[in-house]
Amino acid sequence: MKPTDHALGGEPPKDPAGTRLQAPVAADAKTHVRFPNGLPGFEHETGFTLVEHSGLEPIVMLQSGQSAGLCFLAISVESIAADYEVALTQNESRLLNLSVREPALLPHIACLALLTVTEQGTATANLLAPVLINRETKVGIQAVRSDTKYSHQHPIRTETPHAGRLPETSRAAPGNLALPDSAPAAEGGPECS
Amino acid sequence: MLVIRRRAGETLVIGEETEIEILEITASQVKLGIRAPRSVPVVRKEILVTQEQNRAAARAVPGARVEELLKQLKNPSPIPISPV
Repeated sequence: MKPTDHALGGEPPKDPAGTRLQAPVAADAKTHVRFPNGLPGFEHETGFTLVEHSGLEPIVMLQSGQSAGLCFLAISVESIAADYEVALTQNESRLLNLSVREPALLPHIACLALLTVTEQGTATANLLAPVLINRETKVGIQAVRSDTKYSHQHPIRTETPHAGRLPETSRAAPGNLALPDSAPAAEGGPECS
Repeated sequence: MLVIRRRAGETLVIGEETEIEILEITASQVKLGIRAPRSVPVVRKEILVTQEQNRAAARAVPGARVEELLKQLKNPSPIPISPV
């Protein structure tokens, strides 16, 4: 795999030029969020920056504060499952500073699903374990459900119309995520970190 | 799959060092007590599933794929439902 294919996150490629995710234009909002328990599989990652950008909507980024190459893509749950019901344990509610157990109804609680996008272009969202962020306390958790109501691989994009035959010019520039309505990527654009 | 019937208070043993005791049974839930060496990880399966999914989600993706996804999210067309 060529380092130029690494526009986003993941394990840092060997080429140091491609190790950081770069956004061509400044993010509209960056919020530093504390994850006291980390995320399952990433228990030591206790700090993420929530990067929200109008050109990326409805996708947001969760950039690790500790590992430069680690960046998750996420999407607001309501944009893909309008009737999603959040289920929290008492401990999870306490971490989010919630006294009621209906966080989806509270405007200061962001409910996100982490996205998995494959090389082939298929995309799924993890609705089994939504990431919930209290925007007021800036604390986040990934709340793994114990029921089987929602899939950890909820399909978002299943078809790959141009798989394997994209013209070279339509690919994102190395290390840059080309946003549809953004100015051409200026050199040294702000990093997503 | 091995199937065993047990009542509350009864125990079963896996290997030489792992014991699972049925502590309580209600209409919708079973409460288990697990005695195992520290070296044996015990997690709810959905935690394991999420760990694996998070590792997959953290993998690098080509920027072009994200652009395609964004395009589709902005111009939603019916998503063909296929088995996951």
